[in-house]
Amino acid sequence: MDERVIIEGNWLARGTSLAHSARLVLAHANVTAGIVEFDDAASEPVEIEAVSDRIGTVDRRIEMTDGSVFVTSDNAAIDRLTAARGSLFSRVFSLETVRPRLFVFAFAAVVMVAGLLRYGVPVLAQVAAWATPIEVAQVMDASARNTLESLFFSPSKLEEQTKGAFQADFERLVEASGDEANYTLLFRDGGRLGPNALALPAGTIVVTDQLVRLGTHEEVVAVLAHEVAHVMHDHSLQQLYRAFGFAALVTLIAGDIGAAGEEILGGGGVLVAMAASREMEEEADAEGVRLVQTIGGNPTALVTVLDKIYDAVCGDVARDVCEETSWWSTHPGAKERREALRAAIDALP
Amino acid sequence: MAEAQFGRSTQTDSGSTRHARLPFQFFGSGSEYFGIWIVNVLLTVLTIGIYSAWAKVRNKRYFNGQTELDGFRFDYHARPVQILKGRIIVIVVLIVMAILNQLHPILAVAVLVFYAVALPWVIIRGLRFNANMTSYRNLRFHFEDTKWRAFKANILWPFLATLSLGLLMPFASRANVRFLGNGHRFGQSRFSADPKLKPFYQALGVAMAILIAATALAALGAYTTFSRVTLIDPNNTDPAAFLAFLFQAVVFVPFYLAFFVASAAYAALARNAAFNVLALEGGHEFRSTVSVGSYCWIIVTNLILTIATIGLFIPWAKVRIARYLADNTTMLAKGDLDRFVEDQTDDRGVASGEFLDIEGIDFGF
Repeated sequence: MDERVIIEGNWLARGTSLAHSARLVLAHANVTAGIVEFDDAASEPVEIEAVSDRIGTVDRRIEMTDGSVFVTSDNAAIDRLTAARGSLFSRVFSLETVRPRLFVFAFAAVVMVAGLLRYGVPVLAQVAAWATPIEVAQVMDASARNTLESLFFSPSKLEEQTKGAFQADFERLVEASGDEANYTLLFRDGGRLGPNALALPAGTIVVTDQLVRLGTHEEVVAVLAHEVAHVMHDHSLQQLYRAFGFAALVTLIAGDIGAAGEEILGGGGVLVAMAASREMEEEADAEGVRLVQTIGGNPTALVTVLDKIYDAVCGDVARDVCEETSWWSTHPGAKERREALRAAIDALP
Repeated sequence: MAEAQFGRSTQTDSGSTRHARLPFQFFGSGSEYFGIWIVNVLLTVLTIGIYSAWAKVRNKRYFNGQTELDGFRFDYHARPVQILKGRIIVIVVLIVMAILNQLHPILAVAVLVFYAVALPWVIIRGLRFNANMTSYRNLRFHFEDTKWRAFKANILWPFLATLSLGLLMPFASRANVRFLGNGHRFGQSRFSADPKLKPFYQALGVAMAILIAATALAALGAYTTFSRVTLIDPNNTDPAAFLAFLFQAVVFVPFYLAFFVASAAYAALARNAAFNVLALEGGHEFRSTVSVGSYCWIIVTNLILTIATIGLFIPWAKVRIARYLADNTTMLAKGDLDRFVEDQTDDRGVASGEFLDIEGIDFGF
């Protein structure tokens, strides 16, 4: 019985682009040495050094020890040849083969990528935020503060006495949080930011003059509690890491799908980030009312001050826009936020 | 210049040395590539990104291996572990730089300087790696160029083009074609390209025309819809939100799409301009015949289908583009293609001898 293996293909010389249409002849499937026949001539014996893994119907490359290469589109013959050795990638190829189970893979991929975006990246961001050394957070805090100072803030025009009145409550909130971060309370004229308060990564909390003028004492304290809760849960660090994680994931999977595709996916990323931001706001609201209650304050003050802020910021025309949660807002809509807050207040012990 | 032009045209016309038209062909199929792509995505996610290096190699081997010229396919030879090592190094450097950037304003300036100096180097290394790992007829490609030209093509001119709101874009394109076209070698044969500015400015003209036409349409759309809104629905309960939505729908989306189409049109014409001046030592030339209409159609439909299928269309999208570009690329070969040689005694040593293999900043697979 003739066991000879004959494979049709092209023999490519080493170091030149010279090529011959040729046949690789092996005595039988288990040897690694053979000869190459072309144009009524035959080569010296050649020794197979490596065979490329199968990828779809792409030509296989058989590298010889002398640097020449035999390429063939006869994948079936090469598969028989390499079957005995069974590389890991023959299994990868069998996964890739077009058959119904690819639908299952597609479904699994969609579910996994979505799950990764929704739960994986946030968890990783949480771990990364937790692992971030306090010094790094402080540096980020300071640089964010510098940016804000130059873009929006100017020195506070409030009386020292007004500002000082909040310090005691602020310290009690920090104590109630049980967090060891280095909390600092600052007052600034918010300029275009209007009545607002911000929490920076390492515990700097900025309250604008406009907010202090807008709210009562207990309302401003409620906002401070909300901001302390942001710092407590590392929200600003987490947002930073989430944005980074999302960008990395998109680049990895989509690769070079073109600028527009990346823009679209990036837009999706912004939406996911906004959704995450809204969740954080809700978490800070719920934690905030708990902190206010702990120090013996009035938790409903957070609801009333939010209404005042919305009135001031949204005015009459855009009032409805403020009420509804939209895809692209960083904070939940007023209606939803109010309801969630009431639920959180009712749940307080 | 005139002599060179004259010399070239006589060569083309004289019977014995007439150029042979060798078309590029792409044989990949969307469904076959879908299998490879989806397994790449799955395994990359399951291995928290580590498989992406293997995915990249399988991907490149698929696209190179399905591209044919004169009866021979291209190939890709990088080992995944090389790519993985390079990626880890790049990521570590990026993280360190990001941290330094935050630490102090002076360090932030230092980081900027570092990037300006390192980027040209990384770009050259990346191009060199990819060229070395690509072969045709068992002969590798190579890339080498000066950091100054890399800086001009990738940082300086793009920066100036952005500053000039795109008016200097043709200079950036020309610098890029010079950088890429003159830097590559096939074996020891040099590629060369010395493009004129004119075709790039023509491309810019087409792109601008698309943009202006779209702006006019968007303005018209905005005018007609907004004037109608108040007429039809005077009792609209929520005019502000509705107007904001309408603005997005009739002004923002069409304008964004137009910008996208205009840049695709520029890319198509710039590609033609680049290939049409590309030459390979030995009298070989290239032609690209991408048409603005067909290319924009493919790009826009790809985009729509990719969004509609939450990304699952990506494999077909990539195959469509690869096939269209191959179909519109021709080599004008002077004589047989079996006379190229490698100047290294062992061509495989070129890549593995490098201490550091960086595939560039082209992450993803």
